[in-house]
Amino acid sequence: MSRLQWIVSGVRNGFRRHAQEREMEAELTFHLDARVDDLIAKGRLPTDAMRQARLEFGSRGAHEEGCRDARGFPLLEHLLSDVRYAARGLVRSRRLVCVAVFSLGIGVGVNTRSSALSRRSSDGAHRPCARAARVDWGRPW
Amino acid sequence: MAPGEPILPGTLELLILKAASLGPLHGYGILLRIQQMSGAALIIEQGALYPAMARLERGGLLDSEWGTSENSRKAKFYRLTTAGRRRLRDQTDSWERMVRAMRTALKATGGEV
Repeated sequence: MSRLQWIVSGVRNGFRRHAQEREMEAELTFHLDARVDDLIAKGRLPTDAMRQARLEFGSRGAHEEGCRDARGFPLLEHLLSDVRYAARGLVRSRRLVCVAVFSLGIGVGVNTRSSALSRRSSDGAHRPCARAARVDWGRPW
Repeated sequence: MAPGEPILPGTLELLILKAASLGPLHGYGILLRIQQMSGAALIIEQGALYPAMARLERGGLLDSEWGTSENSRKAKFYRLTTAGRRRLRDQTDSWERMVRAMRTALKATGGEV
């Protein structure tokens, strides 16, 4: 499978996310039910069978996460969820955001202004030197 | 499941491809077939089958469709694609080469080296 097909299938899965969650839920439940039935058929009590089936299955949450990662773009999705988390945090503390933006604005503004001023004064200082150099280069011998 | 050896990392996907190559199966059926094929000598954390099957499906090596199981429940059945069959053949060959090399290496005696 080419890289492009892999990306296309990931995008397609992204559009079917709700359906896929339902399917995954149904698939894992089917597995556990079938295992419980088998254990009961082998003579286990239903409660024992359920406990053993869950134990043999391992962490359901971790395996579900593994399935989601396999179907999507895990790096991109984790990055987006981090960005969403940060945005929610910023929305919650608006006053802090205002102070931070204001002080950054003042800082950047002052810096830009002072560097513009210093460039203007240094430009003036360099121009005569440049002309002097041209005169020197004009007759080197 | 009967006690046995935990499977080596990276071999689960090969085992799933092999199990699915013998006919379409749902996830639990794949587990049972692996147990049956290995003489119940391999221990698999059962839930780990599903992320592995999802990876194989995403990679175009398995195809799936919903159907009805032997006990009349709705189940997702997997079957091998042409690309999956090719991958199974390649990985089986490389696995056999590796096993031969390991066996030769481990049987080496003082006189041979």
